[in-house]
Amino acid sequence: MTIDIPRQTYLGSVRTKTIGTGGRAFTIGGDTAFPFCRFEGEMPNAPRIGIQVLDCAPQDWAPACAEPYADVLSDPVAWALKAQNEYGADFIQLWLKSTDPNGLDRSAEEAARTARAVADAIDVPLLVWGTANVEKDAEVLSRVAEECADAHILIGPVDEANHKQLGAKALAHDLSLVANSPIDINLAKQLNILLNNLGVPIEKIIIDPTTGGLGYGLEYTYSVMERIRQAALTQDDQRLQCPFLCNLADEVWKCKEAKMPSDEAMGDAAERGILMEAVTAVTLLGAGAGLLVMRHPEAIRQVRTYIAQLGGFEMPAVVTRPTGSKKTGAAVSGEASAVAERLREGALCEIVKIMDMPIELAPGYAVALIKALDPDDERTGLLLSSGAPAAEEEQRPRAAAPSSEPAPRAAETKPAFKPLSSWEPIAAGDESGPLKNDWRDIVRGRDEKLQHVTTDLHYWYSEGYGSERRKKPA
Amino acid sequence: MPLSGIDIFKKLPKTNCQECGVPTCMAFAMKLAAGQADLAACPYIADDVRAQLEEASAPPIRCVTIGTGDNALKVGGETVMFRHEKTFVNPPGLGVLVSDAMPAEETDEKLQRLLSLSWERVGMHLKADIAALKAASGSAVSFAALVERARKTGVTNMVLMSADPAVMAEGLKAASGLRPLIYAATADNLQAMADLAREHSCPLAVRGSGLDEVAKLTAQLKDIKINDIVIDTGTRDLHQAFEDQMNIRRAALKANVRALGFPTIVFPCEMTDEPMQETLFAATFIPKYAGIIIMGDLHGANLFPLAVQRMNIYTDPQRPMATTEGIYEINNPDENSPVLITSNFSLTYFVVSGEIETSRMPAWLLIKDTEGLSVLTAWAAGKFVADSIAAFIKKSGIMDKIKHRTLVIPGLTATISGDLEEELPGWTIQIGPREAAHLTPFLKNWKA
Repeated sequence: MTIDIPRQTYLGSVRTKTIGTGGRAFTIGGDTAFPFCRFEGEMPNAPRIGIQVLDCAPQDWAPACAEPYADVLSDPVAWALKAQNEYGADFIQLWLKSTDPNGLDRSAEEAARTARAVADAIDVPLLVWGTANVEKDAEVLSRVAEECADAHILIGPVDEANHKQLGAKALAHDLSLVANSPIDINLAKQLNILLNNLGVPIEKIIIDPTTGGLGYGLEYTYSVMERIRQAALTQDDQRLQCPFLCNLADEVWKCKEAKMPSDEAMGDAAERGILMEAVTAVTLLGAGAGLLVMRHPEAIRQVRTYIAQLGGFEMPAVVTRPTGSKKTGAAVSGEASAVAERLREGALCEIVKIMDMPIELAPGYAVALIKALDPDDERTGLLLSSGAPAAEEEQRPRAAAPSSEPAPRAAETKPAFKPLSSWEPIAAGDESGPLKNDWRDIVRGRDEKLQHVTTDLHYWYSEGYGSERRKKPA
Repeated sequence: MPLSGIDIFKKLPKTNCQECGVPTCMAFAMKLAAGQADLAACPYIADDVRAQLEEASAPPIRCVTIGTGDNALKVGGETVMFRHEKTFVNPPGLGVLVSDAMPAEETDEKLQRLLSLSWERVGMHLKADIAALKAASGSAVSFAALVERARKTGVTNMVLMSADPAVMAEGLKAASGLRPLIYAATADNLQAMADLAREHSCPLAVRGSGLDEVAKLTAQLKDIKINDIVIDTGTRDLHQAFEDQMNIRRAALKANVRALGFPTIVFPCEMTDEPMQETLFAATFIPKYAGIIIMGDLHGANLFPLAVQRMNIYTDPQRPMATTEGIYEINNPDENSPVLITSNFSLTYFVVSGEIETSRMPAWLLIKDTEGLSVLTAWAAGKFVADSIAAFIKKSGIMDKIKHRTLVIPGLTATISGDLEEELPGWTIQIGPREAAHLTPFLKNWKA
């Protein structure tokens, strides 16, 4: 008897995304099937695990998870190095917990210095994480983005309430963003559209669906991730094809069951905590997590082994480097850097379009779409001037003379700042890319776009879907 | 494929006799299709049509019961691939393996733990469900002794594991009346195991290598009217087992492959020697899509995370989890401690009570019944508004427990404070933080 197993039809795939630069950069995403369904599609890249580092000594940590970091808990640089060198973190999440206005309320300046120091010390990619206080995060992460402009960091969480400030900063410094939405497919999509509308390429976005800990809402996260992944793969929704980041470390370890001492009924405290963290990670991996932020080294080791086994990946070698190695990385990447490269070699370029950022977003910054003047090269890219922008007519067309200057900097002409009255967001990269038939091409004007953003196709949960049921999309 | 109402209607007598309690045959057909009526209600339907319709209206994955009484383990009966499509129904059974080749102390210890470990959470009882008893020695006597021993310890749900029908027969005698799962019928012993299953009215597991062989075996069993079947696809490789689980669920639901429409059993205990990996393997099969999961050992540190994960995944997403309305005392509050109120959405309760506990400040937490809606949703739905909150405060009995008259409401519902002051004369309404995470500084600075 031969059974005909029905196959899932997939129309889309998860975007591949390279995290970081240099030798320790890695790639996630690229899935063309549901998580770990290698029998009907590709899962080319293993999910990766980052270790959470705090910028201030943590209070009330369970002894089991404080112990492996006991000697470095008050020094984020040493902590990050230990996580990287001894525990094999694929990336570091620096959680700027001390900036919480309801806690230590440290300044953006101080946070930026810490982030810079950590970025300089480690080789693995760095994700700088705020406190989910939207106003403070906008201030702190903006400052961090400036300070670490050349370190190719990622920042998050970017919320709908601060996406303009942080989106603009990401655009200005060519950073990737972790876009956080409250366990809702429509809000996740809306935030991606809003960021995209601002000019942030969808390729720069990682979705943080908001992670609930084991026993504390994990099922909501699990289902919303499955729903988003379904939309991405079976409905080819290009605005939901970003990889996921799950920030599970604190969600697991802050709950009381992870902190309870060893006893007969609850078993060994350390083993219980490790397994709570690892089981949470496994659940999220099953729903499509690409980046996991974790804490306990043993939980990380177990999950890494598990990923290799279920995904058929080779066990990634844990790379250790002598402490203190510096990181050097190009600030721009992809098409933009390819264009910049040409300019360095003396090729001609044309500024297709220049625009200043809306003054409330990033005063003094301009963005230019430039095109290499080489008949064989149709590439265009997004470059940034860091100074006050010139008026449009003075800039176009402008050919860069052979010189050693890295990129045309509008700032060098130092004209008086003259904001344009309207602005058009532009996407970097090849315009015939996947977003060519994007809705933005068919609507005009900012108001119409915003209208579109709020009324475009939304996903509906099945009839009566719990408390997340909505009559109207948010 | 399930029949539509129209398909069913064509097979009904079309007399509109109303004896089924429904005005027309058409309406009855529609109810049948929706699973809201029972075919037995129609007295005039021909037997062959009845059999046809019953086959067509049978659930795509059979629900199989192991054990008897309230404590029995019910597995299968699932109708969706993703829990958000509707809900998962029967949580997989978690079990522990003991064999007759193990030292008696080890067996006792494992079975004792299996029976004693349990936790209460949101009104749910978290515990393991079943013992897998394996005839490793090959001796019928020693297998029967193991079953006897387990029975005496108090185990009621069992998987009896032996490939030898003679050994199995002795085990079944020792477990008589308990309705254990017989593991397993294979191509070599199918008829003998099927006879035992019929004789003892027990569910029967089949083990084949791969889905094709399994389907062949289950089809043979169905031909001889054995219907309570559990599937083991034979593999002990993690990824192959994962693939099998996916494909069985899909074949049953999407292609209505009856031969695979049964719950499954997996053995993480035979997939790895590393206990932590074993737990993670089990955590893979809870959401994806095992019926019974057998572990080498269960203890607090691994059963608790698995049981909580299982509770989470099998929570009905159509119904928000709710906490009982009432007064919750946190950190031993007294008559001068603050009084906070919030909704009875379980997650809200967990987060708020957790944060108050962490703050180490004593407080009274009032949980108002909002039908499981979170604070803002409940407010929007009119279930967390001034008049109903005031009525709840008055009848809750909190006024006898405190000297002051100050109530802290969630920051998100600041807008109701005016109305609430009118509804609760003599009370001061304070606006709490918008996020539970900010409760600690709030409580530390709190004054009545």
